[in-house]
Amino acid sequence: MREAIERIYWERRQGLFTLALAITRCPGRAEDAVQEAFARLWKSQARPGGDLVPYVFAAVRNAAIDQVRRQDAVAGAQPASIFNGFPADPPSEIITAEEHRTVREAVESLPDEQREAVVMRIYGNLTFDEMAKALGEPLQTVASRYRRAIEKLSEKMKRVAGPSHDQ
Amino acid sequence: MTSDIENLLRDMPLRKPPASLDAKVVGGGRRLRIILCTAAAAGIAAAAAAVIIMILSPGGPARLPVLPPPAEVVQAAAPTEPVRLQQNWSRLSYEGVVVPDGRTPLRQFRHRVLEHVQWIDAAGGTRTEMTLPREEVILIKAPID
Repeated sequence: MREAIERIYWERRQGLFTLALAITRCPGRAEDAVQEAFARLWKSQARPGGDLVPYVFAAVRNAAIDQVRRQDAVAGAQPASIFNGFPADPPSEIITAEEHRTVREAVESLPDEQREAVVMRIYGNLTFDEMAKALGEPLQTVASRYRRAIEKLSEKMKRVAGPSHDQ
Repeated sequence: MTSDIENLLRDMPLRKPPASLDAKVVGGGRRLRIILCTAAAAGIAAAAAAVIIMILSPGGPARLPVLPPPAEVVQAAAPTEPVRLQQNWSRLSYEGVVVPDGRTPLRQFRHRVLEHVQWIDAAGGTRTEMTLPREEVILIKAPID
C-alpha cells in the first residue's frame, strides 16, 4: 500500500499541494499540511479498499483544515493565491495577463467549498466520483457544486471581457 | 463558455510545491529505513574514520573553548565521572535530477550530518572529543515534469 500511496504522491503532488494551498491560503502551511497528511498515512494501519486517490486527497484536505484551525490563533497574514503571481513563461497562447488576473481574482472570490471543488477537479484531476469519496458527500452534490462554481466564473469572465469575449 | 473557462483554468500557472516537500513526504518516510540500513556501515566508519583528539589540559575544564549549547545531551553522569556531550548538525539539500543509468531520472538529495562528541573529565582535567562527518545520498525515482 505504501508504494501505491507514494506513486499517487508523485503523480498528483501538484494537485495535492494546490488543494492544501486553496484551503490554508499559505504556502508554508500548505507544505506542512501535505507533509502531515503523508506522515499520518505512513503511520495509519487502515487498509482502505478500492481507489486510493480519494483517500489520499481526503487526508491532505483534513490536514489542511487542521492547519487552518491552528492558523486562526495566529491569523493576520495576507492570503496567498494558488496561482503564480505572473502569467506562464512563455505566455500561453490563450491566456493574457489581463485574463490571468481576472481568472485569479474570480477563483479567489469563490466560496471555499466551490473553490475546493474547482481545485480538485481541474488541478487534482479527480472524477466527480473520486471527489465525492474524498469529501464524503453525494456525487450529485459535488457535481452541482462544481457546475455552480464554473458558471459563476463564466459570468465573471463575461462581465469583465464584454461581448467581444464570446466571439 | 463553460469549457472555455475550464481550459483557461487549466492554463493558469500554478504555484509549485517546493522541492523540499518531496524529501519531507517521501524521503522523510524512507529516511528511517535508510538510516537503519546504514547504521552498521556508519558504525564501522565511525571506528575507522573518527579522529580522536586527546587534549591534556593542565588548567582543567575552565580553559576549554566555549561551545554553543549542546543540541542533545546523551548522557550526564555523576560529577565525579566523565561527562559525555553530543552535538549533531544535519542538513538536507536537494541537488536536482540525475540519470545514472541513462534511462531512469532520479531526484537526488544529499544529507550531511556532523556529529561532535565530547567526554569531559573534570576531576582528571582531560577532555576527549570526536568529530564524525557523515554524508548520504538519497535517490528517489520520480516523474519529471
